[in-house]
Amino acid sequence: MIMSPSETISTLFDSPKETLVRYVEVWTPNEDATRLTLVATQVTGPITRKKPKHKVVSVAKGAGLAGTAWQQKAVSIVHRDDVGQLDRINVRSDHDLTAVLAIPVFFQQEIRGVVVIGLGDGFGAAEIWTRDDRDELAVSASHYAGLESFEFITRYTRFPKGAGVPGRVWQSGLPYLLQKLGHSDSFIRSFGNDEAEIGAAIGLPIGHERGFPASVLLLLSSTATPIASLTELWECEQSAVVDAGMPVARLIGVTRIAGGSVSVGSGSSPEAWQSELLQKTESAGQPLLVTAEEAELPTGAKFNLSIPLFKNDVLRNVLNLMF
Amino acid sequence: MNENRYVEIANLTKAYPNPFGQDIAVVKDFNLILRKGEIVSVIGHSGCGKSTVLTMLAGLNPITSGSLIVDGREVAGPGPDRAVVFQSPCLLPWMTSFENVMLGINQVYSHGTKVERKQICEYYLSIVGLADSMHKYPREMSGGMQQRVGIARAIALKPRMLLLDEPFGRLDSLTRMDLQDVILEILDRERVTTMLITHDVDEAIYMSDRVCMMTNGPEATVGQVLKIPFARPRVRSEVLDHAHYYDFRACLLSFLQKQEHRKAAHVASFSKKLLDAPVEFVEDTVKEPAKEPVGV
Amino acid sequence: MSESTTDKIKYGLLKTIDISGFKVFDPVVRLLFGEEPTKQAVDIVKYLVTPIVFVLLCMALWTVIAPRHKTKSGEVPTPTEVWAAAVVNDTLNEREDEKETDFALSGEGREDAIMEVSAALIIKEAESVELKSDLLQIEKDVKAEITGKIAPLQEAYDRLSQKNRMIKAERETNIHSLAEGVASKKAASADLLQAIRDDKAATEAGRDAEKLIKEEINEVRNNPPKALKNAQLASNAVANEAGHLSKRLDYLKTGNRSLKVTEAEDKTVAALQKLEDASTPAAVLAAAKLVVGGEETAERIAEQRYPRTATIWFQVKRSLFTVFIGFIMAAVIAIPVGIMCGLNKVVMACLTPIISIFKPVSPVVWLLIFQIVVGAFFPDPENHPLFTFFASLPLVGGLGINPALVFSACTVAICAVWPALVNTALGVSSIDQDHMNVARVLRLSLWSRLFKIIIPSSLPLVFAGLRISLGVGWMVLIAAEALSSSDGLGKFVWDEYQNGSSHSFANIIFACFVVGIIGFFLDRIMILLQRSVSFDDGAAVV
Repeated sequence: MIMSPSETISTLFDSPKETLVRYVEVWTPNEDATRLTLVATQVTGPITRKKPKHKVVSVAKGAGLAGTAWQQKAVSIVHRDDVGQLDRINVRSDHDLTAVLAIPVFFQQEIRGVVVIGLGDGFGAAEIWTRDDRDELAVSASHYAGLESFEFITRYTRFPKGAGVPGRVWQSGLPYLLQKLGHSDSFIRSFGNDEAEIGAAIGLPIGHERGFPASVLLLLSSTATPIASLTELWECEQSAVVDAGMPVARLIGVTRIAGGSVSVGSGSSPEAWQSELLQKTESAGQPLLVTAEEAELPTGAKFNLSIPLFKNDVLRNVLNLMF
Repeated sequence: MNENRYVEIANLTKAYPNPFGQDIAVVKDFNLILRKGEIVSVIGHSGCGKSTVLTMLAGLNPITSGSLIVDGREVAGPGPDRAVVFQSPCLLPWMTSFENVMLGINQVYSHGTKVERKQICEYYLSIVGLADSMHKYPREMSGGMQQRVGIARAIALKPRMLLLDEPFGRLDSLTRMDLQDVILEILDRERVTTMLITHDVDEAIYMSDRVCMMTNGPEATVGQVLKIPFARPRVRSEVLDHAHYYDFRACLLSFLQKQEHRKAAHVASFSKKLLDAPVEFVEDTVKEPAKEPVGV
Repeated sequence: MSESTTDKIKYGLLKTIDISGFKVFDPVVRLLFGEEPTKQAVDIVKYLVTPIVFVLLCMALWTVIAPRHKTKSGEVPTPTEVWAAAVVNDTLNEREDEKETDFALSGEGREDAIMEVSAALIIKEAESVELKSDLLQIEKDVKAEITGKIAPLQEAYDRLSQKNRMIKAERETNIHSLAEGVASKKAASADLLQAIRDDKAATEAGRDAEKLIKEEINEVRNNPPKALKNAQLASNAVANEAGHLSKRLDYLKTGNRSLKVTEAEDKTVAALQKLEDASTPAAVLAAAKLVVGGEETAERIAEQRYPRTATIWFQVKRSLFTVFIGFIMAAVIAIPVGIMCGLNKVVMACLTPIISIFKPVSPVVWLLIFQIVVGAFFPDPENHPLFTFFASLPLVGGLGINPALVFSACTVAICAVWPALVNTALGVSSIDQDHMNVARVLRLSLWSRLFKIIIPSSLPLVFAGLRISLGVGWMVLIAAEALSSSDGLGKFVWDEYQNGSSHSFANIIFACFVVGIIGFFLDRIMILLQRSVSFDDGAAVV
């Protein structure tokens, strides 16, 4: 079923759902790429929720959560119990965060930014898959909301190259979005009832090592508390990027949650507002957070986070998370 | 030698041409690495190509592409360093169990004296519990006893790798459990790297360190690998009573179930592939990611 | 679980009859051991009694039908006659044995035998004379009786034929006058034609009537009372016996080997004497030559064998030997070639045309070819080392091994080679892939592969092929012997056919049974062998 994105986007934010992501920060490097500076902060959910004060903060490589992610070229996760590391965020009181993830974005070996997302209560998971000594992917760090037995079995699960979404992402070096999971047969890892809630999986390659991603971030999005209100994965067409200086992209994956329904569209060309976002992200070459005030977004949307994904020296994909 | 990568199966592919000259891959891009001394089960539905993988590893079936390395050596043809136990015992019916085991021992211990070889043979027959039936012919023995001889013959070769192709498939459940224990006991002592093909979920969990789940063919490959954390040597009752035994079981069963569902869809596309004329539609069907078996 | 001794015996017996292929006796054994008597009884009735009854029925049918079919060799013999023929043939064989012994006897044994045989001969001759006179008496009586019976019939016949001739003459005159009338246009030609037709019919009727009486006369003449026939038979039998005894006496007295040897030795002694007495060089030379010649003769005679007449049992032995030789030749060729065919598809492809073309060729053609080919190898068979070697062997020496036996054996071999070859090739090529995999995994050498896996695994089929081969060989041999007049059962049949004596037909049928029964036992032996090599207890097709 192919559906034009704009058809349902209008109704998407009429009755917004609580997303699993409660809090977003974007850090970008300074000019000589010696420090990361916090450039944007946003909270999701109702307007009443207080946005933390935007202070000018910067960290060196290895310092703080963002600096660690940069140094390790991998997603860092901090759980609720290790709040000592989170000196800036009052996790418990302000936003009920259960874990915070720092996702580094690299252009080859060069840091392009770090996206920090804070996850709240609900249903869903974030897993970091890294290669073991036998070229198999295993979860090295993770956060689960709900899904206890799934978490247990995942600890013992390995994916060889090419197997499952992590294995696929790792083999191809490209992100992958798999929708309509639940009880579907392609969700091979699920075995219990809890996983039925999982609607979509997004696999992102992180860093580069010997021609393959250093690790794979897998976000599992549920229908009850999706990762974002709207998740779009765009594929940039290579020749067009160079010729026109403007990305001509193709939507290869989208998952939108509106009133519990999940719809799929693929192969569509971007609408004007989407083009603008893509273009901005492309020209910045950095993670980008735009609010409804700064750019034209669908009605009801609060802000959009765009993450550029490079393979070798080319921008191959853009992931849009809209809240 | 890297003991963590004792057996390396990389991008293993087996394809047969269909009547129209197109190759149909039974197994495609199969990747698996075994640690030395590890027991890995391969489960999947019958006909999914698990036995094909095993016979290729045994060298009995030529590979189409990819590579197979055992202990640093590329597999080229069958050899006694990779002993196989098939579903049927494959004993030579005109030889006693002693002679059957001796046949292999004579090949492997050609340097030993006759007495030594005889002792080795008797030793291995006794550890599979056949000390009293050494001079019986296969027809005088039950299926379980015959399979014991097959196991003794394989182990007696002192193989680098032991390949078990549904060795208990034709046995009743009691005999099956007996034999599982016999094999586990031997493997705990001898530490032979083992690949066990099975479709019995409980057997896979009880016997192995890791379970490799294969997707359904055509183009069967590894779907997921599950590590079984129970320490060895194992005691059946303890394994069964383990708090998470049923989680592992449910995970494997659910995988198999999903493959079963997938099969129906695949049969249609497979037969279409078989019947398609060589040129038609090829261009169109290339970029369809959803068609390939992918999972989370 | 221990078995009792009876059980052991019982199952041992059951196994034996199973292996030997006489499974029909299975219920009998079980019944003897008291196992489920009702079931066994039913089985016995079904599978043992019923077939026996059926065979008896066939015999009865044969007995009834046979005498009704008259052939140029006489009536088709009944089972009793065939049995009688069997007894006669056996007696013939016994007599040959006796004569052979007599021929070789010497010294006291000979003297004793002469006494014994002479005494028996005197008795028999007396008996024979008595029986002959009895027979003459009976013949006279019967003749009188028959003449008495025939006389009135002959009279009636004469009368009838007289009367017929007269009537015939009358009709002829009538026809002649009618013919004249027609010629002078006084009578219608139709009348003449009718008269001629009537005449023919009347003549025919007269002849038939005469024939009836004639047949009656023949009936009386040809069916002398049973007593005559019995007397004749009894007299003949005794005369026969007496003849045999006198023959024996011949062999004991004049024809005896030891006597002949002594005679030759005496001659040598005389010649030696002459040599000593001789004075001229020529005489000395002549005498010396005589001595040497005499010595040689004595030696030759001492080695002489009794010139046996070929009796049926001798022919059986010879046929068995021939078929054995031919079968061995076939096996020696078929098994290695079959193995090569089974192992290598190229070899198979090379041999397939040869097999397909030569397999259907009739044994008769092969016989003729081998007769020519083999003949060329032995231009002087009497002194050929091969045959002198065979003749010197203890058991088979007396069978008279000659080129005829060789080409019969070759014919058997070439006809028997095909089933064995094809089955061996099949056995080797259809070897269980699992077993080959075992060989491959163990990296067995070609030699161990061949002897530990391929040959043992194909043995059951090899033996199945050999079994068919032996059956084919046996059939072919009989035909070959009949055609080539090489000694053996086939020649026995052929000779009987050419003979045309009153017993010939019965002898042929007797030989038919002999051939069949021997064939049956050969087959059983092969089944036994086949069972002994089959490793999986698989039931062979019986």
